[in-house]
Amino acid sequence: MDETADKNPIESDFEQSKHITYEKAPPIDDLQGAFGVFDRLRNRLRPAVLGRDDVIEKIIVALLADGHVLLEDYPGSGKTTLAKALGDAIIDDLPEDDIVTWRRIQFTPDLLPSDVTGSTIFDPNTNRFFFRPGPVFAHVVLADEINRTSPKVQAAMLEAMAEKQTTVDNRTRVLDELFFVIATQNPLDLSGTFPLPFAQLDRFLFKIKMTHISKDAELQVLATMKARKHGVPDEFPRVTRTEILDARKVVEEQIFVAPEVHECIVDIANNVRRDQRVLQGISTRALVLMVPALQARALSQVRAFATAEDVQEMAPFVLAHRIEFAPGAEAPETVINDCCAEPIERLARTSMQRQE
Amino acid sequence: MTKEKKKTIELGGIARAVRHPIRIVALALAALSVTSGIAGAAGILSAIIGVVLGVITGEKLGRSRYRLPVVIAAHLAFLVVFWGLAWATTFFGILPSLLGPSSSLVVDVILRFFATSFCVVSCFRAVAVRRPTAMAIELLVLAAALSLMFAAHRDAVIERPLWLSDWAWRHGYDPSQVLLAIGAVAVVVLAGLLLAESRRKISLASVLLLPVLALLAMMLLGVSDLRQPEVERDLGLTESVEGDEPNPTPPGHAEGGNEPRRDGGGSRGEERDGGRSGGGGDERPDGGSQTSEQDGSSTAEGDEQDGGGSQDEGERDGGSSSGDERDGGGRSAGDAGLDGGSGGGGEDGGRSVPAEGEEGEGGQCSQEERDQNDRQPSSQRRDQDRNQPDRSPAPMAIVLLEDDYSPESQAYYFRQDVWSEYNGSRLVASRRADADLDVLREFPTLRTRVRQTPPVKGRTLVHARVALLTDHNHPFALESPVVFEPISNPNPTRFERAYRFESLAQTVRFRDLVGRRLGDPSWSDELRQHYLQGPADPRYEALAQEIVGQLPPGVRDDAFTQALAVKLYLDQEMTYSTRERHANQPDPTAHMLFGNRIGYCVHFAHAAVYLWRSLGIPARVGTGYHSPEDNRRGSVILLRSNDGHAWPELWVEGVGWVVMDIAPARNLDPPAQPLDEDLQELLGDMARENPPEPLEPPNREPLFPNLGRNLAAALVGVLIFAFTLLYVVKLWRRLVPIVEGPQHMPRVGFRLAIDLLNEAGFVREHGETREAFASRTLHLVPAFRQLTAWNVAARLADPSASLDERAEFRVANWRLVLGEFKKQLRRNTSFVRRFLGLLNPVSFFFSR
Repeated sequence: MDETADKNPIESDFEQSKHITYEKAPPIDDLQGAFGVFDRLRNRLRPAVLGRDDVIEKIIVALLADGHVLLEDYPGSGKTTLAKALGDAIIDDLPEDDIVTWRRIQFTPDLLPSDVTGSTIFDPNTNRFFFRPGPVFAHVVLADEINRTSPKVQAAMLEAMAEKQTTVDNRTRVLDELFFVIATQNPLDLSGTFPLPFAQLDRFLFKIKMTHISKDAELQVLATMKARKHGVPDEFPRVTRTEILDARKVVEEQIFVAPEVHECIVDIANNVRRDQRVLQGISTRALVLMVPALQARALSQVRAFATAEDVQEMAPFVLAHRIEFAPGAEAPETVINDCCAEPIERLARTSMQRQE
Repeated sequence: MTKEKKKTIELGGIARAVRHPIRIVALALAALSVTSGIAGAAGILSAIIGVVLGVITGEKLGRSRYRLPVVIAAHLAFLVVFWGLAWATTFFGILPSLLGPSSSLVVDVILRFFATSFCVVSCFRAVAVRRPTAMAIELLVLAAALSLMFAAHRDAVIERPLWLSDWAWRHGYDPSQVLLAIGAVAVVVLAGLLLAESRRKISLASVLLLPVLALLAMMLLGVSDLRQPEVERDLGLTESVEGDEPNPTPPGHAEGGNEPRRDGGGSRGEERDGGRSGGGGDERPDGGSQTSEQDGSSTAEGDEQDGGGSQDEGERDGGSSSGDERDGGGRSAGDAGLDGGSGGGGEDGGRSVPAEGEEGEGGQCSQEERDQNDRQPSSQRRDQDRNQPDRSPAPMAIVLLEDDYSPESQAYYFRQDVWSEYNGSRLVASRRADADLDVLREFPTLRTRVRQTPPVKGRTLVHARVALLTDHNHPFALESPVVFEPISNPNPTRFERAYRFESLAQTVRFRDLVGRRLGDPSWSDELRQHYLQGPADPRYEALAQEIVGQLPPGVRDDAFTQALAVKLYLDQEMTYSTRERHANQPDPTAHMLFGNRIGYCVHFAHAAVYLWRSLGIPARVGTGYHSPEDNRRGSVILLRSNDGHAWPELWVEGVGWVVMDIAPARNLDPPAQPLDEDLQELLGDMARENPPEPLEPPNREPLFPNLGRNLAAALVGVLIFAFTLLYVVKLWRRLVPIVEGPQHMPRVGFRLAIDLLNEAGFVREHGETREAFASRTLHLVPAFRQLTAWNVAARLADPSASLDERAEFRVANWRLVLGEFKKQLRRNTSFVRRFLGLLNPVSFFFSR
């Protein structure tokens, strides 16, 4: 299955993805197949990052919902491992496009946008300029400590995230369809940082706060340290890029979101906007982004429709970072749960109401 | 549908919002009812403030992170500190010296009541917040405190509290029903509070709390708005009421007799050997000991038997005036004697005499009585009376005759008491067990028969009712009474009391009495002697024999004729005047009879009795009211203070006691005030069964008669109806999945499932998703997860697929899994819990 890079040498000097194939897997067009993709990814990531099952699930949901994830975490909590394992789980079945499965960018204050997007370089051999793609040209990008870099670099990164394209030297280049960013930021060590403005936080589908893993999981990490040194064993199947795109399509098209669920999330948004503890409520875009999240989450439960449970599960992660809280407000989760309770109760009750 | 939903949610929100105010109000009321009996305004107020703060603090502490024992210990410490402070305020002298003793006492009370109520309430509240079951204890305390107010009302016997039952009576409600209603309301309120507390979500049932609370508030407001009853006794009567002593008082005794203590006087006289006692000031606080000395010095005999000495001035005045009038009296007596001699001597038996004699004279005698009964018979007072001729005698009683009766003597004699026992100076009420049994000496509480009734022959039965305008010591009745019975007071604001009597009134004519024997042959010798005992003074017998001696020989031996002759003699010879009191005489009667022959009815009655007794005729003095027949208006007889009278009576065989009144020929007193006929008519109307409207106190027609009973009945009815309805609904929800088709099966089947789970004690929380609830109960009923998934899918899944394709609409699936679900539920939950849930009629309100 895995092939070596020299099979189809390309002109550039860039390395190829670790796992590539030229064969197309059978297309996925139903719920079960899509869930198979979800399941395979989950199974590969779990041994790589122990004790983070919930985060893994969220990240896969975000991946299938075509969104990006901001992890708020302390250093050394397994973010890189997670992103790396995700990149490792994807087989590049389009190796000719110069896009690798995984890249990591370590953001620093002196980073330049071209360090992220790539730059045009003069080749003395051919006497021509050629574009040398930056790290964003990858399927999975780990943007480490994104708040450490200057706003212009952040802006370049965020343009790529929003539009799946990047503009270098006034030429817009399209990124891969499967472009998934896992950004991280340290919630405490804030000196010399450039906190992301709300408008840019809005680009992330989820903001996930990771907490320290449980004692058992931590012990297991230490116990399996040696075994995991060489990555996840191959007995856990990988997924191809196309399979992920197919699964996205299934999520988008086949998972039904009832009008009651729409009503529920709109009610939640209104509750949030009305809440005294909130300065600025959530945008309509947040709701638009939330629907795929609900669908992807429904897929994770092998369900062909979104329910109140999905809303309850997703709302804090989708909404929390889009809300500007009044000074002295309680924890964002509390506020959101308060605002969710009533619409979710109403949604739960619809199933006991006589259908016209 | 969604609109209704919204409405119930809003109502629930209101109910939840008023929950705490309700508790505060209820606890404040409880504090009020507990402390109102033991504390002043400051204490009550501080207790209420303590309650309010206690609820708030307890609520906060209950939700804080402090552990419960710590909270309770803190409360105890707070209590101890405050009680210590309170103790210190009064123990050390600093605060009292700064604020003054009373203020520091108030501070003490405030501290104690505040701390106690605050700690108790806050402690219970905190515990109740932490442990919802403790709510029951809190409500129990609340209920006990509130019911303290009604504690005296047990077994519906004593309708306490009085302010409430009085209010109820006045508005025409039965107090026990009002109390019942309050109890019912209180139960509902407390139950509502318990319900509202025990569930996070307010159900429809607790919304009922609002009207109930409103009702309670309404009733409380109504109670606090009590009107004070206005006593209307202002018919121009009150001013003269105080001077009215209806009982004629004897000469030499009456003066100074503020209290009607004839019995006492009589008994004392007897105890002390015919009035040898000194002054008797001990029994007459107003008479005073200072007068007894004067009595001793001024009277020849030394100590007269009673303390009439308080009227020293009057006596002296009387003495001088009597001295003046003695001549005139003597003269007139002489003239009268001549006239009487001719008139009386000429007659043979007094056929028609009494009629003439009685006609106008009774009124004069009673005129005397009025003054005599005035408590201040001093000359000043009398002068005042003269100066105020407008002053009319006070009404004393109203008699309503129910039978037509016209007395032979043309005057009604209402006998109240009789004096038959000679105590050495006068006649007093007898204490013999066998004498004068025809007088009732206490007001009847039941229909009471007089112990001795006269023979029926020669008498007719007369019924009448009496309404007393002033207090009397015992009832009077037309002579001779047979039966007394109490009746309800027709107008309590006007009359003191009312009763009814039946009397055998005399119809036999006086002339027919001639020739009869006097005295009852059935009397024992002792009793006969009792009625014959008189003063040892030989002058009486001499005078009597002289009068009898003037009778024609044919009739001289007839006792009745003798008695009549004495009466006629007295009629002729005596002169009426209330100014001549003959006070401070050892025998005022002798002083009058053998002196100036001026006196009033008591003297005359005594004189007649003494003379009769000296002739061997059994006689006694009757006292009470006398009213000329002319004064009767229809059936109404108004007895006024000047109608008080005393008269001689004698026993005629076959007839009983017969009144033979003395009617003096001359009267020195001014004529009596004419009777106020309007007043008589008015009072008569009031004394009747149906009093006239305008004089009634403003007794509003109760707006809701029987409110309490109706309310209680309505409550019970509504409860029964509601329970029936609820059980029907419950049964319907239980049975309908059996027949339901695929269209509604996901809803109906799942409803059955959550009903069953609810009865077993598992309810989805507010805001909890169905899936989360299913996960929560997974260990008990795994099948429920499948039911939940189907139920949610039926609603939220893509509706474009046909029903047949969707598993959640397959009835067979539902039946199968529901059966499995029931089995698991039975296996994994307790039977008792499920049974209790089955009994709960409102359980399905909480299924969601």
